[in-house]
Amino acid sequence: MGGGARVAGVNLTAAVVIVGTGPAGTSAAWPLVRAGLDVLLVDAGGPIDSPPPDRPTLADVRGDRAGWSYLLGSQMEALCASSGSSPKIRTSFPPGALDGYLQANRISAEGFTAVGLMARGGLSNVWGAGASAFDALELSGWPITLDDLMPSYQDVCRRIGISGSQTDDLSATHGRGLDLDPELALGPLMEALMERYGRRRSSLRIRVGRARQAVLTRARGARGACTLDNFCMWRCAKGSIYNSADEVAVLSQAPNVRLLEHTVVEAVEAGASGWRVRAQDRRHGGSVEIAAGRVVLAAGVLPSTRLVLAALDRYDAPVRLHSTPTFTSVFLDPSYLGRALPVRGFGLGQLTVTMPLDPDHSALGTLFLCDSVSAADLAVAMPFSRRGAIRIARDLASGLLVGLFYLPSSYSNNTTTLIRTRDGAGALHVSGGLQPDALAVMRSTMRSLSSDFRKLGFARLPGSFKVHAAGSESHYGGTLPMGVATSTTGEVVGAPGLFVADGSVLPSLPAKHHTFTVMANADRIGRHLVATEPAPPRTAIGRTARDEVD
Amino acid sequence: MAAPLTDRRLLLNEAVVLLRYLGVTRPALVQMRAYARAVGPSATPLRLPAFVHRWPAALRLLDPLQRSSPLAARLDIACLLLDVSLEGRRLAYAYEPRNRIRVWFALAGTVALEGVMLGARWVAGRVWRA
Repeated sequence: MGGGARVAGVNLTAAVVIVGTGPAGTSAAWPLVRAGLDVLLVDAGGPIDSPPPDRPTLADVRGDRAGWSYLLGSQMEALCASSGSSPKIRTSFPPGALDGYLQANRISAEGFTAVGLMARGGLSNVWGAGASAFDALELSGWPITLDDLMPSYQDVCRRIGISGSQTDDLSATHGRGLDLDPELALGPLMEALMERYGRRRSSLRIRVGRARQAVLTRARGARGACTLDNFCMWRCAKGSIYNSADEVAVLSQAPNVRLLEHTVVEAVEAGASGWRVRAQDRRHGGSVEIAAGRVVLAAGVLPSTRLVLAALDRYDAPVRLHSTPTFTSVFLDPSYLGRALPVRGFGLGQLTVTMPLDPDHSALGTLFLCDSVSAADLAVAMPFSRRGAIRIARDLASGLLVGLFYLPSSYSNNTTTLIRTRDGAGALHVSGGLQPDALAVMRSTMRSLSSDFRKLGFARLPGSFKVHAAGSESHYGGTLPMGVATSTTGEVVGAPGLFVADGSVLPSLPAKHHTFTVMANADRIGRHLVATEPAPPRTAIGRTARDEVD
Repeated sequence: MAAPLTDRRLLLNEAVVLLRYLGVTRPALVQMRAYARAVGPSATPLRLPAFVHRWPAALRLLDPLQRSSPLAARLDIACLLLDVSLEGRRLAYAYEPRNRIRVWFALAGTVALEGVMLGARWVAGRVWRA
């Protein structure tokens, strides 16, 4: 880190510092900004270019030489990052946006894939947009209730825009009482599945419904409605898919908000009257120090955990890390072979499937079509030669459904440990794994899913069952659970004024996507900060921070 | 820093072989350049056997079962480059409806051939390493 010569340091002050501009950071920021508090947003990355809004559909770009930069990036970044990357990650980002994450945040991992993006908006640039609320059962054991979260769920839903069904079999699973956009159109194969499901529902254990997605189907301000251009894996050109980077641009226009980018926070330390944030400018290695009344960490689970454990001087003590064990399987409807691939569609998850594991828990999966996936990404998953696999992928694609399934985090067995380093800053080591019964549960769930999918006309492709590396889907958290390591409002126990607003504070993870809950909880923590803002430091908007350059 | 000219020329030749193996009859210069750029400025060309240069389809024999091998990584790049040519689009995506019986036969043929090739690839992988 900071290999080059350091330039002069920068000292800043702020009432509240928020570290991270992903969905958690922006959600925590909104209540503070609306209340007129002096907020400094700090992010390790910077803005990245959005695709042009007039980008053609994916089908139009494929085969078009002029469309190279849309598919591969202007510097062909997608080619350079191809091997082993998930299709969502292997899209057009500036070189280094992915690479520097582990090093800059002092994270090492074994048996665990830690993914982060050094860019404004963090991983919301590439998320799958799944936006389900947790239900009362999933929140049992938490020190807060659904009633505590509901106002924030509603507020975040109104703010980011979520589409989905209010009436199908899974609308309660995804959360009721929310103001939703109309659901996205389904692809033909998904329509067929839903039609068959409607007829055979009573004989099935699975429940199927529309996916709940943070995707607009009605235009909202600068963000357009989804045009079904199938380009979702390459970032949305219309802004239909929620990306917190768009919100950062709006937030930073407020007079009481400052934005400090390309700055990696190295440590947070208790000071005489608040907190001191020590950071480094990644561009030139200059040091940055920020004095703040309160600090909200929303840097992502692993970076936030490292900062908190270091602030508490808690070295060499393993901390549990929850993740949702994930597996994939591919299903084929043979009657769809020979049909043309649709030229338009929504390129992320279209349907959700649940399969009960026991009376209280379910596995949850998202179903994708293959028309938005590169043939190369399908081919790499097959045991055939590339030449054969490309042809097989082409011939099967119109009838394929890819299912991405999750188990609750109780089946995971990961730990994180802050270890001492020579420079004294500490590094976080992650050790990933599964509970002894997890693999067996995944296999039996797969068999049950296959049996039900067969009744719906879909055969599971042999060899398509694959267990993902722990962490690879970025569904993890729980290192600093509320009620144990942090208070019910995310304040670190033993460190008053230091708050955590990302997935670290979720006590457990069900099989559902947890980003919407992280956002709602961050909003709730932001509201708490507003309600408990000490009276004297409150000053006029836009004149609260005193910047001094040494 | 650019690779030495000879290495770069060899990388462009390698791109031609890999793209032709995948079914592209006439790889475009821009595809070849993209390939060379993607493998990186310090990449060394693979030492592919002479018969593969002559008959690129024979690369099927050497297509590695081990997905982490250097040749596998370069084949991944070549596969992605299919997306940016009309011929590649036709090879990789079926945006036009086709006769279902013909699709079934094509699939059966490809899968049968791949089954036969599996053993040969395993043997070839032990004999030849990129």
